[in-house]
Amino acid sequence: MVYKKTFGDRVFDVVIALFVAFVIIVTLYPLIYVFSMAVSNPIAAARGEVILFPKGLDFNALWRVLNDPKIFRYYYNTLWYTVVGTATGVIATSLAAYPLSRPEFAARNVITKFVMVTMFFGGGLIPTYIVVAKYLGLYNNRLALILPGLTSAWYIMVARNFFSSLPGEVIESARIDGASEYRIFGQLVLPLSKPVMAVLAMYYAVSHWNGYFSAMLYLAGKQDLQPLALYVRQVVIQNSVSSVGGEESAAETTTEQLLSALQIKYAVVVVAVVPMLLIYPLLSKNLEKGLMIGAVKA
Amino acid sequence: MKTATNATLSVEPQANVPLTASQRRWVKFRRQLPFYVMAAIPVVYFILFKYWPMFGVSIAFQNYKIGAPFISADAKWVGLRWFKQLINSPFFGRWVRNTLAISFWNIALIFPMSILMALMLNEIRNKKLKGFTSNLSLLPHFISTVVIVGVVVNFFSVDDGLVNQVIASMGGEKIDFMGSPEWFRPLFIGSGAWQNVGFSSIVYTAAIAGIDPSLYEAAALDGSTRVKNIFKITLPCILPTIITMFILRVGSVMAVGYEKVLLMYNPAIYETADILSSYSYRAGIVDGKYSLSAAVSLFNSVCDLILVIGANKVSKKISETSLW
Repeated sequence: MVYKKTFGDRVFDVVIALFVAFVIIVTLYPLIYVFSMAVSNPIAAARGEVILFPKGLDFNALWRVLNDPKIFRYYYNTLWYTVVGTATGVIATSLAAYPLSRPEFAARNVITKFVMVTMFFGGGLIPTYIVVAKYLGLYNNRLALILPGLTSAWYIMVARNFFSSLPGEVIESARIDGASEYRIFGQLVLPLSKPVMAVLAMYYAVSHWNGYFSAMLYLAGKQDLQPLALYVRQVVIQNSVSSVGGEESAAETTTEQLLSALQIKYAVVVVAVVPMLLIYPLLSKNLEKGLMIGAVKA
Repeated sequence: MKTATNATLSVEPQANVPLTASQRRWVKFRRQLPFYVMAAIPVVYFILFKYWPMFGVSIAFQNYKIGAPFISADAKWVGLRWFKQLINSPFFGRWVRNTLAISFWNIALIFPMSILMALMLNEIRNKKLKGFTSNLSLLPHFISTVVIVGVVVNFFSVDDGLVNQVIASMGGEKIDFMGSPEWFRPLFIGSGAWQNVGFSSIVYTAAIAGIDPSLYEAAALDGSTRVKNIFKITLPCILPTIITMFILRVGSVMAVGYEKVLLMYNPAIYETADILSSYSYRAGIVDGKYSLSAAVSLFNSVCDLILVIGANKVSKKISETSLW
């Protein structure tokens, strides 16, 4: 369509340009600043000379964080929870969703209602905590971060809607050819459902990668099992920088420690955020399409 | 589709061996057995982790001792004792006020901002720039709350935070942001906006994408401008989405993201930061007063339920859009 460019249209173009600039600056500035602070010269950083880009490169803070033997433990744990939680989550969600999408399944309506009730009612924090920590004995157990959030009614409904949209004739003809229901599900339905699987995987992965609350509840007594998020909380929010690093850091002078304390906090943030930023371009490709599946059907 | 599937899955009466009703049911069950097997794991999950805790709500009416079953013969039922204790607490007003205030500002600011974000993104002409900007606006949602709070704490720290350095360099007096009650809400909501506005705008972007383009073509023939189109076409077309999202949002008024509150607050700013659910966390997990804590969360959820029903009723009356 062709518009006549009026004065109003030009003003509008300027407004849009300002908006774009605003979004870009507001989103990127904190990220760049955090990175610059982590790798700047300690004295420049402490004096507040870092405005946007690093001033005088110095990787000591980053190095010290990465040399902390604990960090790999935390990283490993977060990775474990993310991989196991995503895999089990996607499997459990599609296992629940597929039967609920088949009109010939007799118990379909009963189970759908059974699942949907949990979208509106819940036991709340304490009853869930008592069940998980005391009755099921999952306190200080890795599974406490996997099982209680295994799947969710919401994602089951998203997946079910997707499965129902697959052509029923394909499933029917496979059945006539003698394929078992398991084979139909595993070799026909799942390969056809890659888009929705990708969306589910993304949701589960992001929530496991970022989650700290369940770890705080259920793994409080076992540092070996805690995810990276709890380490970030301890160092960056609760300000216990002295716990970062091995023995040699004890030999440092107090001034050196004070100087680098600020940078260490920023370095920890960098270490925690970089993996997500690296895979984000990959994520965002699927993101828009995927989120539409969730959003439109909801 | 239904008839086609019935042909293979339901039982056809066989000519020479008539089946009794129970046999027929058995054969049907056998054929559908794989479905039951598949649904078994998720069903067990919902029983253990969702339905079992629901029985645990009963501890809000007991003097519950840890280790006992949720409902047992020798449970000490105390009626509404914990609810009375909650309402009579000198801090009750503060908890309710803070919960409502944080939620109110959250809705009042982030809700319109995400609509505005979708409208503006839609007006970017350059396809590449549009894609880049919308992807970038989603990015903060994928950064964990712990990291975001960590960055806020450090940016606004009184000694060496970025903001106080800027204030000092301009000759102003340093402000203890994290320790002053009046700064909690702006920081909480501001960082929430940074994290979520882009992500919440997706729903509206999807709704805008679904608008019939011929409406805009017709408007162009009538000599309409882009600004006019926003108000005359885009907004009216996505109004049902806006209302649905609004009801859902009002329904979770009491469900302020307390995981973030727990990370951001400290006793010095309880006055504006402590909310019902953060108190419930402290009472239960920190102090071990399980029954009191359960009562606080139950009170919170009941308020929520009332609000969502109320919002739905109002919306039904004024706009004919409702959730049910």
